[in-house]
Parts: sequence; C-alpha cells; structure tokens
Amino acid sequence: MRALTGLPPQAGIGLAIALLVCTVVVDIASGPAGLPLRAVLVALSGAGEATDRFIVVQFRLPVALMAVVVGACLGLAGATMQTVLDNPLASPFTMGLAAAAGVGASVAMLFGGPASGLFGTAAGAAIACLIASGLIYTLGRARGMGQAVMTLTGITLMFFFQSIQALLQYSASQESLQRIVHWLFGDLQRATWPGVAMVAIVFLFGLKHLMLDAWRLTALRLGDARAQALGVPVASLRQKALAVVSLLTAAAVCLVGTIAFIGLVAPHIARGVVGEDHRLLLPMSAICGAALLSAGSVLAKSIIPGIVLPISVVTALIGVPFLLFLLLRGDHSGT
Amino acid sequence: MIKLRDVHVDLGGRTIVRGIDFSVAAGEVLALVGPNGSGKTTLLRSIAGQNGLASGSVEATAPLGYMPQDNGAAARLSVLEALLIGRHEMIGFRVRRSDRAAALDALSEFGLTDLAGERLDRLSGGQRQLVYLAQTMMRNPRSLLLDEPTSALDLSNQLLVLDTLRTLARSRGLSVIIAVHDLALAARVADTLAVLDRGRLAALGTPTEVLRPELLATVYGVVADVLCEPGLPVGMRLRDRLPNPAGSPSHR
Repeated sequence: MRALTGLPPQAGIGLAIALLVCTVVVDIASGPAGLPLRAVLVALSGAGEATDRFIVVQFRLPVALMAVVVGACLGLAGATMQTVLDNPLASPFTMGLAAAAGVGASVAMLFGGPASGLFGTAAGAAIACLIASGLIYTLGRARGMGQAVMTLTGITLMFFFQSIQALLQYSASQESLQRIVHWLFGDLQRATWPGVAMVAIVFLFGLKHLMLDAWRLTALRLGDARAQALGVPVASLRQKALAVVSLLTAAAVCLVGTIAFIGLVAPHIARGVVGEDHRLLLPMSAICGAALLSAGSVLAKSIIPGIVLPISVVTALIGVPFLLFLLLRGDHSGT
Repeated sequence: MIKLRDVHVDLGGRTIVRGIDFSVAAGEVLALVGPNGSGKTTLLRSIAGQNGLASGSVEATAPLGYMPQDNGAAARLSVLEALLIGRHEMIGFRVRRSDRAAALDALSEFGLTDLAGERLDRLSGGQRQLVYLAQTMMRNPRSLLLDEPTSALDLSNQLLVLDTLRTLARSRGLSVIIAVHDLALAARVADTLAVLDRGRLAALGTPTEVLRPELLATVYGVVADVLCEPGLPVGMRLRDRLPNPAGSPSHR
C-alpha cells in the first residue's frame, strides 16, 4: 500500500514500536530511588540486591507496563470513538466516558463494601461507561446532530458526571473522600501486577474484537450511506464498537484514574502516519497511546527531581496544546 | 434479474412510491427517470433493502451492488484501499494478490489506473464518483443499482461511464438500474426507460416509445421536440416551460 505521508506505514509502525521500547526502558531505569542503570539491569535479570530487585520488579516494572497497557487502551478507544462518532475531537475524556467511569468507580468505593476491591471498582467503572456510551449513541442518532453538537453533548455529559462526582465526594466520609480524590488524580504509581494483567486482558479482548471489524470501521469513514450500501450493518457496528470502547475506558480509568488527552492525541498521530485503513490505524493508535503515556510517565518523574507528579497533570500539559492546535487549524474533517 | 411487483414504500407516514411493477432481465439496462422528488432514490433504496416495503415484493439476483447518490466523506485512504473496502465481506485481514488484481481491473475499467496510489480525500468530486463506481463493481454484482452515477462528471466521463456500464451489463449479464436526470443520457444508455411521477410509474418502454412530447409536458412541464434520427440516440430540443406544469412542486 502506498505511503500517505511520505513515510511507508510499516516504517512508521516500526519507528513507533522502537520509540515505545525506548520510553519503557527509560521509564524502568528512572525513579526517585536513583538506581544506576547497571543495577536496574542486574535486578531485571533476577540477580543483585534484594532491595533493588524489589524496587525494579515490584514497583517500577508494573508502573512502566501499566503506562503501556493503559495508554494502548486509551489510544485504541480514542481511534474507535473518532470513527464511530465521525468526530475528530471524540475521545474517552472529551465525550465524558472517563468522567462516567470515575463516577462508577467512586460509587463502587463508597457503597461496594467488600466488592470495592480491584474488580468491584472496575465493574462499577464499566457499568457507568456503558450507560454513558448508550447516552452518546442515543443522542448521536438524533436528527441533525453534527460534530459540533456532538462534541458539546460530550462536554455536557462530562460536566454532568463531574457534578455527580462532586455530590458523591460531598456526602463521603473523610476516609472515602481521601481515597476517591487520590484515585481521581490519575496516578500510575498505584500499579500492581494483577492490575496490569487485568488491563492487558481487556486491551487484547478489545483489540481482537475491533480488528475483526477493521474493514467495516474503515468503510464507516466513507459515510453511513456508502458503508450501508457496501453491506456494513452500521447501527450494530456502532453499538458493538462503543461497548468495546466502554470496556477499554473502564479498564484504563478504574486502576489509574482519569488520564486526559491520550485518547484524543494518539489517534491523530497514528492517522498522520498510516492513514485510515483501520487494520493499521487501530494498532498504531494503541502503540502511539502506549508510547505517549510511557513518555508521560518518564516526564512525571523528571520534571521535579525526587518527586513523581500525577500522570494526569503531565498528559494535560501535552494534550492541551494539541487540542488547541486541532481547534485552531480549522480542519475538523477527522483527517 | 430484478423483479418488482406492486411495490409501495412509505416514509415518515407518507406513501412515496406506489404500485411499481417492472423487471430488468440479465444484460439489460433500465434508466429510472423523473422530476425531483418523484421517488427515484426511495425506490432504489428499497430495491437495495435499505427501506422497508409497505407492500409488494422485490426480487434481485445476488450479489447486489448499490451506489448511493452521496459522494461520501473524504477519508484519508488510498484509492486502492477504498476499492478493497468494496470487497470487505470477501477478503480477510491480509489482502490477497487476487483482491489487489481485481481492484486494479476495476480501476482500469473506468480509466482510473493512474489514480491507484492517490489519496481519496485529494481527488475531485468527479474522480471520487468514478472511484465509488469502481468500488461498487468490486462486489462482482449480478444486480446493479446506481443513483445518479454521473452527476459530478464532465461530458466525456459521463459517456465513458455509461458506455462502460452498458458493455459490462451485456458481457457479464448484469441487471442494471440507473437513476439519472439527463433524459438524453438515459436514452443513450438504457434499453428501457421507467418514468416516475409523484411515486407512480408514468411510462415504461424503450426510449423511443417513452420519450414523447406529451409525456415531457405532463411529467416535466416542458414543451420539447423529440428528435429520433436513424442510427442516433433519441434527443430533445427544449422550447419552453409550461406556466403551471403538472410536475411542478405546486402540484404536489
């Protein structure tokens, strides 16, 4: 297939994977403990001092891998949302899904009792995400809803879920409030191996199901009428894709909190390199999301030496200028 | 073969198409003509299965290819990728050599070989229409429904497309229905003309049988001479517009 940007798509994907590997290595090698690279490599091989091994294997490695899987989930979810909603500004964050997941997770933490552990929080986030997706889908089917109105609808939903979140916090006990606020900050440092495994499983599940629909999602980019004429079941494809997006968002958000802009920015970078053939766009968006969040994780540890900033602060610093660039360049065609 | 029996279509509580009966044999081209709002697009969508029928029946030999009027969003895809989407039901994740060859054949049929590597969103409206036509052919249809397939094309490309469709219909035994506005082009390409007027079939027959000054006055509200010269397609010389034509919106 001919390259769309001068760089052949395969070379672009290769370059993105190489960048991802580099950021993951730097992410594992950096941290407040100030371990030298040699000690990190020795610890990774299973040798070296027990303290170093503990820091690297039980702390840095899960954080680095969590950045990869969460970034991949958000990139994949963002690309899918931008296609099915035909909106270049759609992402789990801008369309209110992340806020909904936050509400779901908070409800699980407050009222879940014994179910408020890892999977209870994830289930709460997933249910709230599915409800928000259903709302977006239903409103998106309303006659005459254009991209601008849909974006405003997403922002409205985000405010709605944020106000429910505020209400929950207002009525929460001191202990629960502290837990929720800490969670909402968006923090990779709470990563654990079971959490990484759970997000990785949801990501692989979502990727598999979306890749099976890759041709149909590409056809959707030619407009509903043409996709329908080519035999694409447009309505059921949208429902299925949004359900998968909900799971991806819930898995990403329920463990590390709300992380903005990765789902918005990654698909645009991927589209610029591989075009809109979803066989390439979906995995490339996941790789770009993973690389961006991994780079964000490195930045979070590097901006103020000795202190790890919440990842959501760093991604906002990257995402806000990009969002402004998208809005100001005047081309909202999604390409 | 495409066969319609007493087809009625309702949309939004209104009956748009009423009692349509006709059939299109393999190798035959039928041109669906009529004024704006006469129900051409609704009827084509119904044959394609995208609008339900209120009553009647439609039979069409599968696979069916349908090209809607909409020129589609300008996606960031190569022309070759756009054509391969036309086969999405048949191809797997990896594109086979035979699929790529079929796409290049479809492009060459419509004179688009040079555009294979171009980006779809950088083509003109007319070029994109030709690409979508080639994309529709990628499904290897036996029944073909085309809604205004030449609306964005220049004269030369209009003739290229219509002559190619006629040749394909004959050589592959396709049943083709084309909705067009230009009566001269319709007469050139079609074996049969079906004239729709306010959802009803006003006339059905060969271009020579159908295109009469009386029909043009009744359906289109125009005064015109019909030119029938041996060896040439039927033509028209428009003289005037009737002051209160039967087909004008004020009569609907």
